[in-house]
Amino acid sequence: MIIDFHTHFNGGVYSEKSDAEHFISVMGKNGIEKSLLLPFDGFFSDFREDNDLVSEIVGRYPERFAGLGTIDPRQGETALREIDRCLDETNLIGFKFHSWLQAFGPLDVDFMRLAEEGNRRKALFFFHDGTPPYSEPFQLAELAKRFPDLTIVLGHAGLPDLWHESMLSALKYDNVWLCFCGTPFWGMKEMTERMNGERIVWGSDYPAAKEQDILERIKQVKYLPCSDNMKEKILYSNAVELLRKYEKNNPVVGGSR
Amino acid sequence: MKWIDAHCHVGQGIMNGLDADKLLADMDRLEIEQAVILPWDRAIAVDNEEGNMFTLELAAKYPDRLISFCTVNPWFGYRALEEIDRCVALGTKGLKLHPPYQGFQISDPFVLPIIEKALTYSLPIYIPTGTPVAAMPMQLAYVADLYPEGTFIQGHFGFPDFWIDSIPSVEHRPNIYVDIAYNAISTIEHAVKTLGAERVLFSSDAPYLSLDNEIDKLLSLSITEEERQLIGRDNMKAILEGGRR
Repeated sequence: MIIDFHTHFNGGVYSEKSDAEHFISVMGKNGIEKSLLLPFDGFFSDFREDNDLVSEIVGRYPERFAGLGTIDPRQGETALREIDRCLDETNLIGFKFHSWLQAFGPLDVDFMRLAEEGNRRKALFFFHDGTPPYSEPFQLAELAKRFPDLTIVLGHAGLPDLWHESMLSALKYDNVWLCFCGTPFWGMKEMTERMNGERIVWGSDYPAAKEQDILERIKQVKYLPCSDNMKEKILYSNAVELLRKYEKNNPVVGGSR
Repeated sequence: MKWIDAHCHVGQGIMNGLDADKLLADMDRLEIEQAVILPWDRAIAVDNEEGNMFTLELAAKYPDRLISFCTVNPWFGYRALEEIDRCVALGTKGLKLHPPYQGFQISDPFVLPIIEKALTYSLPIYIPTGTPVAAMPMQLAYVADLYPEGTFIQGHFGFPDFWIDSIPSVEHRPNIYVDIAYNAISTIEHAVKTLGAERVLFSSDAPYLSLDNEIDKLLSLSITEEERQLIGRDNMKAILEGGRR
């Protein structure tokens, strides 16, 4: 089985409106047991409303979805309160930030305040990475250093140009995880070897990546010259480990806790 | 044998370069008739002569299977121009420039003499795009506009950051082809629909990407078999034979 650790519920102008039942049928066609839903519209509009939408989908299908919210770090107290509201009052288990699309630098004072609160809550922060100027892996590694109780997932493991930075970040800081998604073969191969298959998950980016792209991205892992055990960890059991840590009320995948 | 790989790497590099025997065995297994070969990373950045000799010798040894594209770092100035002359005399069939490895922007003025030299020999010019600030689709478009007679290949089709620019940068420029390495199946299908299959080339960028996966991708595209044939072989064949389609 597979856990897709990088999907979006709705994809803005890049996809049709998401429909949970259709989403689940697409997962079924690709052997995906559970998907981590990230927001998209909330990057640009009322994030609280979008967070509630993702939470509601997770609440309807807790065995098939986990979900993250997002926050505009420039909203001051409102932004800080949203961390607590999401973690205490919704089904969301952490936050996705697309600092490039949301137009903030991860080391901005505004964002550092959010990261500090996230650290206090031992939260899961998931980032788009691999894209300068606002989504450089070392910027996110600096957050990992300053906020060691935060778990930071690099959502593209550096993409073709910056995977080396992403790998070095994960090797240096135990609270950095890598998500293979648009990462080149050579980078995935080296990261898998150097990380011994640990702290690596896989994601499709559906529906930003289309239905026909999911299987191809699964195959990218299957073609890696590493053991089947490593591939299973990347496609499934590492994600189970991470979800178990954060899913409080939802059933987790992969058998009993 | 069915396919032509428009771009892959041989030799021993830090981040790319593939043993030629392994490449040939993989080509046999995956029904790839011919592959355009480039040298490994260091040879692209600095040791151009060493790298070019390596690919030229392989192409001479396997003339039916391997095709050499040379590379020169534009910062070498007149020596880069001479290196193109030398490679052409020894049978190179194209030029690759690599802005991030070689440290320039595609539209930098000192790059233009290199382009012009390649065009005097009618060499197709392969330039990867997608890496800011050096290798961006609109920079290549600017250069392609200066030389409408040239044949340019926009490597990687802007992946990952320039998916918005990739189509506008090439759609009114018939002298630019795009290749499919790195890109998602849906992106390639969109390119075929928008630009026409005549403008799209199969390339693997192996071993930085998996040759198996890239062939799998070519075979998985929801396009007609005629379109697959154009992308997988015929377009590149026409370019290598010296004629744009």
